[in-house]
Amino acid sequence: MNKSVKNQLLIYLSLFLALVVDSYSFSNILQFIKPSFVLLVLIYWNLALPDRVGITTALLFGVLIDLLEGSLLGLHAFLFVIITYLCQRFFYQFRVTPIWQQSFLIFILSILLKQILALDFLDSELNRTNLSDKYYFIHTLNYAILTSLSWPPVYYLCRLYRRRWIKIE
Amino acid sequence: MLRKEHKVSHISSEAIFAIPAMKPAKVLFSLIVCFLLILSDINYKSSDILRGYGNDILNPIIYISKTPSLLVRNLISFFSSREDLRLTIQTLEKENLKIQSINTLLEEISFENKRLNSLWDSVKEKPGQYYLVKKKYLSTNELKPVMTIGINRKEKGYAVNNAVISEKGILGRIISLGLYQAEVLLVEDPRSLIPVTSSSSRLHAILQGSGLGRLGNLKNIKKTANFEIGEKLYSSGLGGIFPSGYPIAKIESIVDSPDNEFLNVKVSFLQSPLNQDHFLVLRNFGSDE
Repeated sequence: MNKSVKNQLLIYLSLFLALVVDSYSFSNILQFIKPSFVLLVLIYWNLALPDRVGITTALLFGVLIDLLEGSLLGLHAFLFVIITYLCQRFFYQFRVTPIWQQSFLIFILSILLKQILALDFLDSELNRTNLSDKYYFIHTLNYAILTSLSWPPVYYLCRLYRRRWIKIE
Repeated sequence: MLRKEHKVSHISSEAIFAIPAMKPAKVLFSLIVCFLLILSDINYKSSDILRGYGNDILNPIIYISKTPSLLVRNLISFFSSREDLRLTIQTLEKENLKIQSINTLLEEISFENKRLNSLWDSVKEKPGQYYLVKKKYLSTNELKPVMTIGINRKEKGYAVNNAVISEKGILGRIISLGLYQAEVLLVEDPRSLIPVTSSSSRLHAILQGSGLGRLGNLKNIKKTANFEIGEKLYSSGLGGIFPSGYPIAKIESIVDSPDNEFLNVKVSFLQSPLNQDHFLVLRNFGSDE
């Protein structure tokens, strides 16, 4: 098999595995605050191999998450495309920052992401555009903390995976 | 090395080993695609057709994600003693009896409400109209909760707008159907509007959700309405989507604020999809009318 195609397939496999982890359903409050591993793995590949992962991947996995979550079709895809663009635009700066600073940036990104998902696109509440309340904000904070804490293990695991399996000439 | 993988300096003609930047046109095109998807979903509910089948595609992923917990469970049961297994069977038998009694209870409640509302002739439900379904996935967005359930399309009668019922009352309705999966819009969802009637004051109202674990509200209630705190709300059957007589919520607070022309009536939902795995689908309710 062509090495480039093999690498691409391996990247897709890692994203697929992250999707499998994301699709695990908890029967308690953890369901609403569990970190989004697809997002983290996507960010990793955008930083590590920006020429191999692009908009199409972000679009595809965004739509898959939309289908899984039952959210507005295209909303996660839109957010993933924006995040991919930002990662690729600033990946030189992002890649050299210490891991704890990267985690902090992911913390901020997660809060923004969760708040955008709370927007009332279907106009179900007449007098407000955002459905968020204080409980949702607490869950958002917990989600952001868990996602940012998950970043270092995801980062090192993906790096291990890349060094072991993905050979770039 | 391919030409596209690096830039060449115009001054020295040497290769500049930089990653080529993402083409803005491609980003713009992708964003336009996303916007079109979002707009078509908002205006034409385009995803309702796709979702059921999309979930069918994602079905193996959900199965794979559940494999580790299944393996652990099977290993535990493999190593458990005969006595443990006997106890498990007893518990399952009890659960089965409970489900059967709940089914009977639902019928009784339905019967009682029908008698009170003189709707006996219009609704003819049979015990065989219920299908037992299993929860597959619950969305992580608590403000717009959508649940995926596993169905078998070979069993006739599944349709969009079929009511989904738990042991404590109505849980939601099917909004999208696939071959093996269906999406359920929960009563806690802000998009869900259900005609209800109160248990003691016998007043009609529209119940709207506000998200999972949150209090719902009754819409446009006049200040002269005499709802009581603690009274239960049952589906009224108006609108033809939900059958009448099923419990949904309980009134928690009634606030009469001077700056609002309506009463602010907050209700708590009787059921939650979080800690339950099995539900009943009431099939072909609409076609019987």
